[in-house]
Amino acid sequence: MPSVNIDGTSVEFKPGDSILKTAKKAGIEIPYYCWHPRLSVAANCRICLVELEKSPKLVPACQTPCGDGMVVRTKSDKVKETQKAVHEFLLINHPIDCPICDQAGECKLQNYYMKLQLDQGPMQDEKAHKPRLEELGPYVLYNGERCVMCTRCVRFMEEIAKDRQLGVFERGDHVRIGVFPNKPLDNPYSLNVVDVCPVGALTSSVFRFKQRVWFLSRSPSICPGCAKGCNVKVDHRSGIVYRLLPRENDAVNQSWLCDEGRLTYARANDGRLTTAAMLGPQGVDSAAANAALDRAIQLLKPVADSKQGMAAVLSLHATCEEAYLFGRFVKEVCGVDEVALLAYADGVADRFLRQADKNPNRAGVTRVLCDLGLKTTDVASLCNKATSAVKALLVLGHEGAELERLAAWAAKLEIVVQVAAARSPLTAKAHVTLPATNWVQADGTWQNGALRLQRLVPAFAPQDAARPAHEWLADLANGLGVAFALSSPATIRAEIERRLPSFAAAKISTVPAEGYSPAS
Amino acid sequence: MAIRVRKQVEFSFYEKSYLPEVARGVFVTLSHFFHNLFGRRATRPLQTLRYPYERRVYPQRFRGQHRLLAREDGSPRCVACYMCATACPAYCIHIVAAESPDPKIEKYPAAFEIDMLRCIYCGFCVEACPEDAIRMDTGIHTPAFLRREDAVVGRVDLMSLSGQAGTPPAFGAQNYREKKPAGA
Ligand code: SF4
Ligand code: SF4
Ligand code: FES
Repeated sequence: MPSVNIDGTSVEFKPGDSILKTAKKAGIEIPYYCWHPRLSVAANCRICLVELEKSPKLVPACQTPCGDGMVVRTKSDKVKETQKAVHEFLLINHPIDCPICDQAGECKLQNYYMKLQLDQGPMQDEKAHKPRLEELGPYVLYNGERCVMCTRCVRFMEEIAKDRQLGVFERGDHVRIGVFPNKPLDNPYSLNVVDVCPVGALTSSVFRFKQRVWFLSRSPSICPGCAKGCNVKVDHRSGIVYRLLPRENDAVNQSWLCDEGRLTYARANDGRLTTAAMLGPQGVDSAAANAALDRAIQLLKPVADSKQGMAAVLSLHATCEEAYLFGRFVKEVCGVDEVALLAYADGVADRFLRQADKNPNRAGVTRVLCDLGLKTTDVASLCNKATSAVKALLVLGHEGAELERLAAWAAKLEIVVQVAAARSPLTAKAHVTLPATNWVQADGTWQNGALRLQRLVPAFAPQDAARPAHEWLADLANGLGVAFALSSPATIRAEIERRLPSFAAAKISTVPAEGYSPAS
Repeated sequence: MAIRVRKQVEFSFYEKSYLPEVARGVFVTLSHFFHNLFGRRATRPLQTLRYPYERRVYPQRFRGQHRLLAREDGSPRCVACYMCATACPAYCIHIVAAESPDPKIEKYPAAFEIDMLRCIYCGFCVEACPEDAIRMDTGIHTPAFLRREDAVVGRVDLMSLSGQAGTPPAFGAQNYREKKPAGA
């Protein structure tokens, strides 16, 4: 393999790779703003200039391809001096108002300033003033003064979103990023430009001012927005989720996320249930977890004894582990042979990320239930059934479109038990509601539309009385006299692997962080 | 190694006779007692004050209850940057930032609360603030609270306080944190 000499170490490269890419792979840091691993090279910020032997001038590392035997210096005095000067230029019109800037704490400009410049610069003239709060679209705001004109956002719209909604307007001191008249930045992938912006020029109107980023903790998760199962990072603080950011995964979403998926962060916060509730003469009232569990066991006892008259509803947001335990519970304890799936209606799909199926785990849930020998149906056909034959209803989950209808139907039933993470129309009708964890708190596995298994990692512990749904189900089963010795998701996964034919080959218990697609 | 020899204190006959010395001690004690009880405040040696009838004048740098400063138009100087909340080791500052109605200002604190029960009066918030928006120069001890909620002081109350006499004025030309001249 050909090699270049960077700072005295010889580094092998793939022909065609730039100096920057090769150095990055070798762990040698060259600063960059305008370069982005997934966008074309613009080479306009000039912070990546490096010294090349036998070249009279410094060359941009992001644009210069490696050649065999090249000698590159990235830390020489000349390079350092240039980087400092370039940084001074970049900050010439920048207001340097980090304390009120939303990007502060995750800003490349801030980091490189501390590394490369660290002084006020010789500029004495008044800075150029530009619009500071421009609404480019429903979710994206633009501050011209903070912009370094790297054009990453413009290139994202052109190359990835394939929708030229952004452009560079005017020149010199007046230069700015903008949209065309009467054409707002409303592409369904618009919020990615906020991620690619290396500085605080583009901010998300949804997350803006909600939290300073250094207060947030981050954990990996999966977007619940559709069957694509894009990998996300969940940013949260004190049990509240503030935003979702894309997590790199070449096989699923590269480094992008659709706006719709990003906004599902609110689902993790809205109406979260943290106490158990029971329906009393005065309506629904919160109750002690133990009392609610006992009541649920007492209510379900006749059904469990007769093994008849039970209807079961499972949300397609449930993890495979929850689906397995739910399936076993309704089949073995309550004698059910058909489960209704609570789902969101199909939505818009496109050629990039968004899938028509807006449920994250349809594939996993249906496969688990099918392997358990259960039939599946939808909530609509369940609600068409006469209520006379049905005595009790057990619902796991609260995510779905037909909840109103289900609630109206459930109102006529004698016994309604719900295990859910958030309030829904059904909560007002349920005789017992047990608070469960939602997808950011769950330890489980989802299978996306392309049958890729991906792991959900709990971001934070369940609050108050909330517990993972599988614990409630195991307690209910044990209370009804069927011993479920399944205490943790890991033991459930092991059992799934042992007992379900579809998962025998698919090693659900050893899903790696980036997920994997079983061969079948 | 040298050996230390303790010298015995030799008492004179007068001292050994005991009673005169006791009388002298009683005299010293009594003279302090009457001096402190009836003497003038300025000359008496005792430092104890008859609080709350007498109060000490605090030095300018005394860290008392916080106040939030206002701009000339009465709006808060605070720009809701959370620097104080970040610096606070007691996590007692709660800010809700919002878009400022003034187009020249990016954000302002829609809510700004300090939990006085958690505050340890370290003054880090004052040091962290880039806007000189929060000060602890009111000279007020935090009063006793009857309910926990009363200990959480909100923006309006914080802005209603003023500095104790002798502290620098809040805004305008006399601002003690003068802007650095350009190029300096
Ligand atoms: S004085 Fe110290 S403890 Fe009190 S609010 Fe300021 S930073 Fe927090
Ligand atoms: S540091 Fe100053 S300007 Fe920033 S939020 Fe606190 S009081 Fe407001
Ligand atoms: S990163 Fe090379 S010029 Fe911007």
